Amino acid sequence: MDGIDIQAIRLYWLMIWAVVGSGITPLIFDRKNRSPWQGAFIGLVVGIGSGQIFGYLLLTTLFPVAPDLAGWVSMLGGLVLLIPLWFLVPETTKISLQNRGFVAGTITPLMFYLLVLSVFPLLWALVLAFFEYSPREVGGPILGLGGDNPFVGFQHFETMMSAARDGRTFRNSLGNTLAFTVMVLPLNMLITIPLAVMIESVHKFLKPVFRTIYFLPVVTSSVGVAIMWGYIFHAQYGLLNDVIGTLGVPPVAWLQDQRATVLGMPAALVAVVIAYLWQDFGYNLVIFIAALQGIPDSLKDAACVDGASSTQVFWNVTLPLLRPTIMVTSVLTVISSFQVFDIIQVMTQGGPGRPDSSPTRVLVLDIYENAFRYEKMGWAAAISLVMFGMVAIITLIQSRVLRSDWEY
Amino acid sequence: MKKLLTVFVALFVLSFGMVSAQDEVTLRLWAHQEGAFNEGMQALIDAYEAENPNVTIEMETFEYDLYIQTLQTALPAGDEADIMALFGTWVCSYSDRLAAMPGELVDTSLFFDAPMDGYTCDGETYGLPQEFNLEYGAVLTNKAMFEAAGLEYPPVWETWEDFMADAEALTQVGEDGQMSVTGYHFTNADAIVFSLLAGILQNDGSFWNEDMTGFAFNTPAAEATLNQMKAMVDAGIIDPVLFNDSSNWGGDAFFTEQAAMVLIGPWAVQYGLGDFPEFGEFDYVALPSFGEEPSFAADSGWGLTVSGNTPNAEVAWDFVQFATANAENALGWNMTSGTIPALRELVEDDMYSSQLLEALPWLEPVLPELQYGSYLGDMPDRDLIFYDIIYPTVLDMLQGLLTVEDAMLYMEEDSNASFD
Repeated sequence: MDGIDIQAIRLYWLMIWAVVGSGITPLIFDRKNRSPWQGAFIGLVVGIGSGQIFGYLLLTTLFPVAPDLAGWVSMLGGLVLLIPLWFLVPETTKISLQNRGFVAGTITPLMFYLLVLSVFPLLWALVLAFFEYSPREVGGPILGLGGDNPFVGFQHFETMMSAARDGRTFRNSLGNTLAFTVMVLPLNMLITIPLAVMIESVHKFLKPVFRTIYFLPVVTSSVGVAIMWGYIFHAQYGLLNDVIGTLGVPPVAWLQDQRATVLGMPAALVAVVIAYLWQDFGYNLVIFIAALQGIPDSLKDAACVDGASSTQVFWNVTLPLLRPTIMVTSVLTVISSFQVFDIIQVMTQGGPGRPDSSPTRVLVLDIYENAFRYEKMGWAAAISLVMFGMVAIITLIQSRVLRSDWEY
Repeated sequence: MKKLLTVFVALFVLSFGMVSAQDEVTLRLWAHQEGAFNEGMQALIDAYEAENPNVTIEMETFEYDLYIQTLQTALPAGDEADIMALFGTWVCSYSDRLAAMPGELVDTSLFFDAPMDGYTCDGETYGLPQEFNLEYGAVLTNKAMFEAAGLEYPPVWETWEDFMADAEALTQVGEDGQMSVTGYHFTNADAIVFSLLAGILQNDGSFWNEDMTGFAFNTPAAEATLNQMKAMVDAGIIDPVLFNDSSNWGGDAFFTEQAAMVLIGPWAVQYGLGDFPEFGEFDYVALPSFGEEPSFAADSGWGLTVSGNTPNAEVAWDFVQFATANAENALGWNMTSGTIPALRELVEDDMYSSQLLEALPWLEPVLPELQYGSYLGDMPDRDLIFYDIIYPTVLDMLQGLLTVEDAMLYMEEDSNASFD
């Protein structure tokens, strides 16, 4: 069957008929007073099985006659068994008033998608971390593992501690990612919380204007943002060097010079932090504005009646009541800081300098390059596992430290 | 009887139709996206289809990085196209999934050794080259900038001292103390790597160990080369912080007149002229040699390979032969793509070389250099060694962040680790 990618088409059959089977069957089972959850499971199995078997039969039968249509018609394979199932399943006399058909028919396909598209890749990454796996190598019969993609146990994790180039690069990336996060998190909070309070205090007609303006960078393409900031920091015709040049300061190669520093931090790292903050702070700002609107005026009024100044109200009433929001935003900011990639990829490509000493080589860039440029999937999976663990630990610490025992 | 005859005629017509249908062959061809390259390939496809009406070749192109990823995943999965344009230096790493050339289909000595060797793995031929990928040997020079500096044009450099004197005269520094024009831009990734490899060869060394199982960068020849490169920076003809792959890439710097001379392959000319069609006069001029002969290492350039899974290998190889070994066809592709021919005949036969030089006159000083090129050898991961090890390490050394000795140690240790 020239021109037919059978693996891709099998995937289509799987995804379509799993959803149709587990989405519609529960509704029919519900109408026939049967358990919708049972219907979801049966529909899922029958849909997938029918889609694969009859889809393939339709494809192979029709392809010699109508090659252009065969692929499309084969998509109907799932109906061959599902329709009889829907019509022939007997109705029970047991009366059920729960009407959970819609719930089961909605949740089951979503759970299936989540399993296939999120949980399976996570588990796959977990497995790969213990293999020297590369898609270029011929592996064993089970998922390509074994053979030239051998099991290596904890070797990748030992390499992370070693003096080998991969180990040095990993440790540099980890350090840079932590430095990036440590800079971004407090700066983000220092900008967004006071700004949210100020915006909340302006006239109600102006609030949406400010919200929109500050939120615009969030919905701007990261690549566009990175290109714009790349020009601002450009060594020869950058805006920043023009400005400092008028003050008599010599130009700086912000993104290229490994010796350039700002307050002791590498200039290239500071530059990407600034670009990232500019794009990202609007997101937290909107969350803080929403949280501020949720604080009852009565609490602030009571403090004012007791003689508190506006500063005292902010520190002693507003800020403590924002604690749950601070926890959520800080967790989200840490996670997104650990995942930073596109801005750095465009502005510095992880440079300047060698990967094991460059100030902007971060973990996700390391994972991307190893996985998709050098095909070292096992090594990349091991790094992603460490990153996952670190984010989980930091999130746990944050949720413990910022936990509040009250509600308002 | 009439009915029987009708049935026989019908069966005959039907069988004829079936045979014709079986003869219809559709091939898929994969290539990376590059306007001039793709235009040249489409012209070859059109010509082949005109000669072979039963064959249809569908070209699918991919953005460069995506193409690499697609190859890496499609080849193991067996989903690749029937014909693939591959960079010669990659071929041996994919050879177990490619079809070996049948018997004596093409005499491989028709091609220059440097490009052909990339397609030869364990004595078998896995494709045929279309271009000689030359990154070292001659520099691109800007005529107007030479004349503005009061220098002879075209320049003739007998020694490196002559060359350096011109490069220094061409360099310009702005009022703010920043270099605004580099006299000689040799700090692109490819330029750094190929300068190092050529320097090692010209200093009578080798970047391979004796049995070609590992790299040898911690050698007197490598040390001499790195010192020569550092001397150029110390002479002030380039600022390696401002001019490198990520800031002021050589091709852009040359065509925006921020570099008076740049070490870059001829492929960059078509690219530059596409973006800067009004650019003034320029030429390639041969570089002086560090040693007696201007030896240099070369990648094996782009060429065509056939999938090991294709059911139409015979037709696919026929197209590969048509595109690469037929002088007229190969010449057409080289002229359209602006590349140096891999087929010796196109360089050595005056009839073809005059056509080539008429279309690409800047290649004239380059063609005599081809005889000094040798294939750089099969590496476990060429891009890793070039772009993540040699280039950033030498650039760090040129920027004064590493000593020559440390740079040699890092390069040798890290590049040899890639064999594991």
